[in-house]
Order: sequence, then C-alpha cells, then structure tokens
Amino acid sequence: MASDGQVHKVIRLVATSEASWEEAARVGVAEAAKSITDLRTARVIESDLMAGPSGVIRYRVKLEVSFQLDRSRRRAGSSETVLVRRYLIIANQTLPSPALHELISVRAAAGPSEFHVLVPEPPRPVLIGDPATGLVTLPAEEIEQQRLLGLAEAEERLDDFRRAFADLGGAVSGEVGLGDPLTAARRVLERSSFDEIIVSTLPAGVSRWLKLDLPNRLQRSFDLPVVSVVSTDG
Amino acid sequence: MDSVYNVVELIGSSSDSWEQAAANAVAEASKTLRDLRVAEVVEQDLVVEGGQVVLFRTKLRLSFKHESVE
Repeated sequence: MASDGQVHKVIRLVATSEASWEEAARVGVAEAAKSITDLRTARVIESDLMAGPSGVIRYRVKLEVSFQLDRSRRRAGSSETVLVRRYLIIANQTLPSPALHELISVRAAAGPSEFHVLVPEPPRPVLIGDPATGLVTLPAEEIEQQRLLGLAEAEERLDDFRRAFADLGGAVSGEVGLGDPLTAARRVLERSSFDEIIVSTLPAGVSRWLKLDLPNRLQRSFDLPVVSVVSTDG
Repeated sequence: MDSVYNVVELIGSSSDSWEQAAANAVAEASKTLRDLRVAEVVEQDLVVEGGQVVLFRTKLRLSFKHESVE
C-alpha cells in the first residue's frame, strides 16, 4: 500500500522459466530491476504454463510491479535517503561525442545522479521502387538484415558509452528502444521518472531529429526540461 | 447434516518458494486449529531488495469446521 503523499507507479510484466514459477518471477524481477531502481514488491496476477511440442513445460508468471515515483532513493549499501537526480539521454550517432560526455560529467559532479541512455531504433531503410513497375527492388531479407545491423551498431555504441562511464558504476544504464524516438521515450517514461531529458544530435541541417523538432516535441509531450547538445560527429 | 465453517486468512512467507510459504502458513495454523482440510490460495506476491527476490509470500484462505460449545 502507498503511504500518504507518495505516488506509486504500476507496470505488468510476463516472465517464463523451464524450472518453476519462482524462477520465472526471479527472472522477471531481475529484468525489471535493470531499469527500475526502486522496486519493492510484485504481485502475481496470473500463473499458467505453456506446453511445447516436445513435452517441455514453461512456467509463466504475470507480475504486477509497483514502485515509487518520488526521486529520493536509498543508495545501495546505505540506509540514508538521498535525492538522486535522474537524466534520460536520447542519442545514437553522437553518443561518443565529447560535448555530450562533458555535459554528463558536469551533472555527475554536481550531486547524486543517475543516467539512463535511450538509443532509439535506427530508421528503416528507405525503399526505392522501380519507376517503371513501381515495385520495390530491395528484398525483404536485405531490409531485415539492415535493420538487425542497425540494432547491433546501436548496442555497440551503448556498450562503448557504458565503458566510458564505468567509474559511475550502477548510475549508468541504457537500452535500445524500438520505434521512433518519441515512442521509445514514452515507453521509458512510463516505467520510470526523470528530472531532465538530454537530446544529443548532429548539427541542424544534417540531424533528422532536429528536422522532426524532437527536443520541442519531447518537452511538450512530457513536461520535462529538455537540453539539446549538438555535435558534429562522434 | 448441516454444517457451519469458519474461514481465516493467513499469509505465509519463505525465501525459497510460494509452496514453502503456503506450507509454513498451514503448519502455523495447525498448531491452533483442528481438522484443517483445504486451503485456497488467495494471492501470491514477492518482496524485492536490491533488484533480487528475497521473499515469496502466499496468502491462504483456510476453512475449518465450526465446533459449537455446548
């Protein structure tokens, strides 16, 4: 139960295991804990099982997880409550840029902070149809291959970023979000709260996100301060 | 023959499993209640600390025959 004056947010998740419902719950909680720092309890909404063709049973559990939305969190290994500022960083190609890293270092030095990096899924390849027939010539497998390649590159940039800020330890997390940047950001903000959004882009004219007016749209959609960082390149 | 049943709700907990949590609750209840037959699982949840599951909890509804004192 939420005590007075505290806001709790609730999400649902489904996890499976070949061992037991308990194991499935452990897996689900561990996964949720990657992006939710203040997880306290989870309630079982439903437990069922799935039988595979080879007779293998997977235990499936649907959990409702509730967590606090206020930003004072207990730090690991300490009982004192400190106010931690949380930053959502949206970046892709410019994730390695010194300007962005500088901005993060300044914030990390200012006080207890947590950074969550969202690398939105790279855009799908543009399909060019044959002008005579109107048929698209790029085979489906190639489109899928390009998409997977884009995702792999995004994961790699994220890994490099985590390594660059290894000294911040658990204060840095990240994910590759599916969908356009605004949709991906909405998914993150549905399960977690932030104090500021940092958007890192290429210069105006080159940047697709600036063309889409992403910083302003984020501000309007989520009512959070949005800071833009422009870099020429990673 | 007409019968009357009492119903109680109990919450058991265990660091291992929901089964063990239920068993703990039944073991505790049987110390004071006679003729326990069926326990219905009302709710299962878990407690998380530091991103790890530390406790499984099972809430049971236990019914037992009402014995009138005459």
